[in-house]
Amino acid sequence: MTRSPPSAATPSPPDPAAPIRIEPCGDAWVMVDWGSHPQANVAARALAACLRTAPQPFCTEAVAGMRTLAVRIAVDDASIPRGRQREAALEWLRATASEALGWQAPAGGQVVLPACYDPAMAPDLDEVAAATGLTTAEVVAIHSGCIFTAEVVGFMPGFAYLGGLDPRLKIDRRASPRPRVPEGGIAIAGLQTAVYPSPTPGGWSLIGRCPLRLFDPARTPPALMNEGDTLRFEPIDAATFERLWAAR
Amino acid sequence: MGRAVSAQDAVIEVVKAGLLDSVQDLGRPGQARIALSRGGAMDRSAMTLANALVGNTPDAAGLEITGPGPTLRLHCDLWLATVGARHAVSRLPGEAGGALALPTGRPVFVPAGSVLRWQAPPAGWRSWIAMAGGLAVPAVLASRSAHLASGIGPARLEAGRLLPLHPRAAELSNRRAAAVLGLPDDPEATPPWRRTAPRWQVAEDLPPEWPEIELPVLAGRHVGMVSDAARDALFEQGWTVGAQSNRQGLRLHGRALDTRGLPQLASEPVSVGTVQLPPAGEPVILLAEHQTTGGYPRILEVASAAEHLLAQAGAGCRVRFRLVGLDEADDLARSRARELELRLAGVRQACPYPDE
Repeated sequence: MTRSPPSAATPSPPDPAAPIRIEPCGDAWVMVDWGSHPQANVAARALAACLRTAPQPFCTEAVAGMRTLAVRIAVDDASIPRGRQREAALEWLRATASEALGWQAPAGGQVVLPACYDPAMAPDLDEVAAATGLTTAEVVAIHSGCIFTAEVVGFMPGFAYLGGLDPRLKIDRRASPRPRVPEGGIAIAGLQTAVYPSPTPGGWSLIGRCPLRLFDPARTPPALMNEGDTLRFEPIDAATFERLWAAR
Repeated sequence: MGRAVSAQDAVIEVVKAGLLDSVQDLGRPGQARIALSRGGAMDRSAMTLANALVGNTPDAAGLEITGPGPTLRLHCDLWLATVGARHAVSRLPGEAGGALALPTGRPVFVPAGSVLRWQAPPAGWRSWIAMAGGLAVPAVLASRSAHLASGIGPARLEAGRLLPLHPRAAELSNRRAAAVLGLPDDPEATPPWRRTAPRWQVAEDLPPEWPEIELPVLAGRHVGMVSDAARDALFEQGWTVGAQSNRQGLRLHGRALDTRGLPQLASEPVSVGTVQLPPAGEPVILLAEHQTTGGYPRILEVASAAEHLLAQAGAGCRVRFRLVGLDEADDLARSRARELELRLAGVRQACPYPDE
């Protein structure tokens, strides 16, 4: 069987304390769960990329999640019994999932997102500063100094869970979620940040706003942030925000 | 609206919107990596069947209607079919003639100028309407379907909207109607509505005990996290479908399950049929426009053969879960696929459509 691991292996010894779970999930999917292994997210992205670049006959779609990978089996191909397709998928994943812990995820694009941290667009900035013992200026400096990785693309089109938040900004989710987060809202929770592509309820702390359209089906690719991309935020003032927002 | 619509324009005009009508086709499978769920017709087999009845390919776009349906004015002759719930379709009295009840589950010829109304169905919840040539709304990301949750594709129907049809919809409709009804295909020669539909119809495909719906389900990968008592309560009771349910998910109401001690999970890929258990203890079944990742425990996965059952679950329906294993789920899927094949073969036989 040929496959192309996305790049040279960087040895990272599998954690024997974190067994990998590989199991059917419903009758159309199988799932790999790498648990708490430190390389779990990278393995998920790397294996998803592998299944996309070197498609396997049993698989029609590979979706990376946090520490997990879902593989849709070719259940609509009536020529092969579903049970056989599922067994083939499970067998292949059993042979590959632990190896993927040593792979590197394919390098994504480099994305710089303008971010307005003006108090009018950052309703939770004061609270975050208070909770972390920093000044608001320090919060902004730290957030815009982080290099993030789009670990998982999910939730809604244009959204990505961005890992790599400086631990000094680590705070819990808000006790009660906001009923409506505005489009472009930049939020943090745990060790992650995210930008909301359209208005939605949200439980993360809002510390700024991005004026760009994060998802546009007419673009290729439609989303600004894609799996594995490296991102950082470039502070802009309110006037620049207004200009960019108006120019969309 | 820019200009007046003329008599034989290939458009449908929304006179009055139903509860929730949208343009649908088979959706956008395989786009979860851009966080876009499949969407599309909630029951793809019914959409496919409706398209076959009017001579379309399976990927043609039609309408999905929910509960009380819309009132539509046809600006050109149209060969159309309604498949799904027991929607009563009637032509309102007007320029095209007197009031008339139209049959469903088969193609029917409707002359230009007709105003049709789909009334709330006494059984079932959703129907799919296919028209010869299909709706010609622009394709976005390789589909014409409305993904309402993410604002992709055409918006839900509202009064005054004009839906573009295939530019040759009238011609296709007359030719296809003639092929099935054995009439001359020159619309001038015979009033086309003298005979409007075949006498046969495709068999109804509703949940047999509707509004009671039994769903075959597989154990979810987090079911072990809930207590034995909660698991028993999950299967023992009938769950009521809540009014806030939509194309994203079915919200179920009932005796809440004990969720104390359930861990917070990392967001992982979910799919149509995933049954999540949020902290409030009432399960949610994910549907066609689901969010692509979720962090609530997934306690069940609905068997993929039950897509048509989920599509007919409206507010107030009672849902029961029946645990099956993978072998049974595969058997159910196999017999569903075979059943659809047989139905399509029957339609092909009854409808000798000309090559176009």
